Amino acid sequence: MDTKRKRELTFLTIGILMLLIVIAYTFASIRFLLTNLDEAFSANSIEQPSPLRFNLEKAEAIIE
Amino acid sequence: MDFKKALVRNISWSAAVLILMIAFLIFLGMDVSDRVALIKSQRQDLLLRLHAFDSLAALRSDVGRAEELSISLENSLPARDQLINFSNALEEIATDNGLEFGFSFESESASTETTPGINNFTITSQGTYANFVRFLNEVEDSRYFVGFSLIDLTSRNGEFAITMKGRVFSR
Repeated sequence: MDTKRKRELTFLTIGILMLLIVIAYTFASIRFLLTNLDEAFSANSIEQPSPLRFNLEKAEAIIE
Repeated sequence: MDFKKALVRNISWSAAVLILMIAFLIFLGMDVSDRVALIKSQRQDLLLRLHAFDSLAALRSDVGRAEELSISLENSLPARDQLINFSNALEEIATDNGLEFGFSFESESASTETTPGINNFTITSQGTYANFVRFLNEVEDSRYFVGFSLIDLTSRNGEFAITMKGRVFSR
């Protein structure tokens, strides 16, 4: 009886350990996916180019 | 003994499945990272093109005024050949203000797309301080763009011996 309980406990412990590993990895994967989605589609993840204009005011100031 | 065998078999199967799963997820993760980089680069490209259209429209609306100003800016600096008269112009100003005058060009660097041509020169002169100040004011008002890097005044018999190093800008 004692040996049977020990075996059940061993299987249960290993089962729980495996389950914990799978859960941890699932969370890590979801987190990785969300981070990458944010990086791919967030407005802040790309650089806003500065508008290109003639600097007429400065040119006028030099000539005046 | 049977239990041990069963335990090892079960753990081996589970570990194999886990390792396969982890390997698959690592492979998938690398693929996702590559695709994210591609999406980011394409979005950046798209944004650049949109801004290019905006900039083109803005630049087109200002092009007339910009051309006028560009011509005025170019003409505001004398051509390099016109600097032949520079020493004569300075000498005239110095003579008008009662100063003795000596002039020599030292070195020059040609103009580039972003910087004007720079011609370094040295002036040696002698006269009163008031005349010297008048001379400087008139040089400043002349058509040449001149900058002085050294002005050395030495008192001599109530007058000043003057040495000036400067540069004049050209096209």
